[in-house]
Amino acid sequence: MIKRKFLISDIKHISAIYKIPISFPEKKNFVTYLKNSFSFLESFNLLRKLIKQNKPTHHPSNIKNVFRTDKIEKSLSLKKALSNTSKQYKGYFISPSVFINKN
Amino acid sequence: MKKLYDLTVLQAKELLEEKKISGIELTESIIKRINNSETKINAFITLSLESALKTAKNLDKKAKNNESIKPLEGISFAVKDSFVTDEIKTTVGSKILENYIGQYDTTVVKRLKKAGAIIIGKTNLDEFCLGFTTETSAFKTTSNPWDLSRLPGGSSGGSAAAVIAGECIFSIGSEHYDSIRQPASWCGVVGLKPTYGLVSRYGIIAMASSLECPGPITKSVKDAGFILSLMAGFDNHDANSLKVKIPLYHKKIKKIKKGMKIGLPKEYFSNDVEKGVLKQIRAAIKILKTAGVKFITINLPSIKKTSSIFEVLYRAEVASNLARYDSIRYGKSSFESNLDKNYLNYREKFGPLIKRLILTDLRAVSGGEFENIYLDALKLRTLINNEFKKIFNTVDLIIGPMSPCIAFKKGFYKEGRYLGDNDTNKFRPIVDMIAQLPALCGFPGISVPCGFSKNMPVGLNIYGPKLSEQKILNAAYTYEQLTNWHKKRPKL
Repeated sequence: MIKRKFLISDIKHISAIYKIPISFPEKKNFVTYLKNSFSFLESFNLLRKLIKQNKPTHHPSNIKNVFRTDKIEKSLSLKKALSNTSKQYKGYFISPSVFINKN
Repeated sequence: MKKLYDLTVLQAKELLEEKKISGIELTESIIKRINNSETKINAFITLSLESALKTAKNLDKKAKNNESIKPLEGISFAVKDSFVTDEIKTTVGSKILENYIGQYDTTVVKRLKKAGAIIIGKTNLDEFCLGFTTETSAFKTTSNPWDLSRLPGGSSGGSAAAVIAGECIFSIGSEHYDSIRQPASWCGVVGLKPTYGLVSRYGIIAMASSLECPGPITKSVKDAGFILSLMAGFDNHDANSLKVKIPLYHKKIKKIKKGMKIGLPKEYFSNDVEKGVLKQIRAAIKILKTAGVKFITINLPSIKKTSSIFEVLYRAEVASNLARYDSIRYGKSSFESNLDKNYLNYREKFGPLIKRLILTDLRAVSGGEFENIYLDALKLRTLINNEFKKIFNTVDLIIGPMSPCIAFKKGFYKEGRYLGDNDTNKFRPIVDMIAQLPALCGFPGISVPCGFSKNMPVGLNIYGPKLSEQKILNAAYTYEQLTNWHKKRPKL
């Protein structure tokens, strides 16, 4: 595995894409944390050598192809479904605008 | 009868059915207990005392009119705050959902309410169940009722502390690998983790979906079986729900037959386990020998260092589940001029450990090669399962300590990180072997009180293959009947 270097700029980038702001002093600690997080992949790679022809176990219950009858069930009322939003309009959730108006 | 709050579920049920006590008397006793001790324990994030009393009054009216009594009529229970509850706040211990009022009942809660049980409150937990002390909760740290300077364990720490403190008759918790049984062990109560899929996950705020198991925390083994029989069963809202017949476990509980084979993994008896804990476990083994158990020394599956497998699966599943917190549909927050600002303002409310999980741990599993890594982790899971199958051909169940140590002192978590040192870091690989290894296979297990070390409770962990709940309950019951540890209560 290629040894990676982690910099404050990596943290800045991750913070922006995951939409979680962090302060500058915190960013310094996060460089170490990120390095530690990647290091577990090294120990995982050692275990991968043990895999022969095993099929994956996605869930311990090993249930496959779960279907139900195509029957409409009673669901939440519109009022209840919208009860935890800060803004709504005629039965819809209102989201702030996606694009920024620079004017 | 002064201490009604100390009753077990089955004791309370009997007294209620015989009309020796009323639902109101029982509920009032618990409310009084909460009023006297909650300031010290901090087991609850939200209390619903008024509605509990109202429900108890209605139920008593029904009883007076000789209407049929439901199995849990008048019995108060506490619910971990990661279970959505209709019209009661559900915070999952996070500022992210500080204002979220549940819109429906989790299947488990719905079933218990239908059986007549009364919700007394929502219990404290580690934020999004990530942690083992309740110290990562955004709201409070729960105290261990046996020593207020110590922690109750976690993530279901509030649920375990509330039961032993008499602030409810029983409670509900959930675990990915030891979050029911570890706090049960640290607080001196019974914690039962069912087989993955036996109890519906519908309505539990999701983290690692292929590992989550809801289960009861009680004062006796029979109670755990009774509550499980009411919680379990197929639910078409959970695609992993098992279609199996659910027995009345508590009625089928019996002492084990002579010659039952229980495995003693060498790895659970290492020098890294606290001496006081090992002493109690060895004493418990001696007691079970007198009941006719045949103990066989075994080796655990060859892959013992499971943390990297677990981390791959856990992180990938958590990544998909935590992505939903956008502040639009729930978690009312200030409404910003654009979506980007909204996200940033809202997601800043994640606690330090969750932020760290998202920004570093999730980043580590989001590279291009991750699909193959995830698939290989699932293959290693199969490998572990196959090795356990061989073990369970030679033994019925496996036994050992639930936790390698007694409850930690408060202050183990500070500013986004656990303050581990050489004395505590040595426990981590043992916890992996005790809890992570069987959890990857979805095995059921129980922690039952088995004595004290330095005046703190110790738990005996008994686990077995999938759907071996009855066998596990029988073994735990056999041990419990030969000891008095489950009758001990802390002085508050």
